[in-house]
Amino acid sequence: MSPEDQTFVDQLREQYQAPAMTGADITRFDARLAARRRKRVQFAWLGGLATAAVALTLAVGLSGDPVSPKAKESGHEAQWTEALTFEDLDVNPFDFLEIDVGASTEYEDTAYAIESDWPADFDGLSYLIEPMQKEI
Amino acid sequence: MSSSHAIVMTVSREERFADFVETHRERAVGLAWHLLGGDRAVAEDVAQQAFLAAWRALPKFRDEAALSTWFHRIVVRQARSHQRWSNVRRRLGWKVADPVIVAPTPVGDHGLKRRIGTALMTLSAAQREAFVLVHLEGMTVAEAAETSGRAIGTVKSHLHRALKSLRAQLGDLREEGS
Repeated sequence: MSPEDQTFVDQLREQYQAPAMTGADITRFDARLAARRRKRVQFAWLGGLATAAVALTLAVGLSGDPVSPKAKESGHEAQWTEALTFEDLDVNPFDFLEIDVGASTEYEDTAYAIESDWPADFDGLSYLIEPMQKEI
Repeated sequence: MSSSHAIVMTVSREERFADFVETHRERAVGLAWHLLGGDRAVAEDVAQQAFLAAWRALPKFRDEAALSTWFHRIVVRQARSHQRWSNVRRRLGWKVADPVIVAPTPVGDHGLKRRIGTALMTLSAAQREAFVLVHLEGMTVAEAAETSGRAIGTVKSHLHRALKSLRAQLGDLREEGS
């Protein structure tokens, strides 16, 4: 540093000094600091609570069974979703409907289905059973 | 057993902290005052924040020499953080008290202080920190580098630029001060 710069810096240091703290300043400072510390200790549990909440959320999110509609879908439901989502997909969603619904809801009357399996001897007695079936 | 061994001095955390505050209070407020352009209320606030930050880690410290540097680093960071938030608030249009009121016609010592404070606040944070730590707080360049968390060469560069800028702004200081 040049002598001019040194003189400038010395002058600046001399002129720009922080005012000394008086006794009253120190008392006020310490009282305020103590109050802030008390406040911080009082609310420290909030920080702990927030940390615990975050940890719990993460733990549930990582280990638990996430409730996702996509995850619950399976088989034809997933294909339905896919077909509806991608409109330009070369799939007719009603095909699934026909195959699926038809297979699962086809009406089968077991009472009449077994009739053909009856022995020929019982055909003569069938008039006794028919009124009962009509009541049902 | 001798009496010196029989008496075990147990300094509690509270007592140690009280001693720590007593030792560093004036210097911390002064450093913050220099870094924040001469605003006493803000300087005290920043110093208190630094003490609060130091309180938790203080019991782990044994090396008193390192303790001082460590604490000054906290003060510098707190001042930096305060300045950053003030700038954000100012940009958002929130009310922020100006740390320095520009005095176009400085009168006496107080006016000169304001002028110097204003000139310091025109520097970048890094330049201001370098100048304050070395030239106003009397640290070596190495100490200032450690305190501000910057490389020695970087601090030297900031010092050079800060001095150049301040001389340009306060070139008439000699005449004014005398």
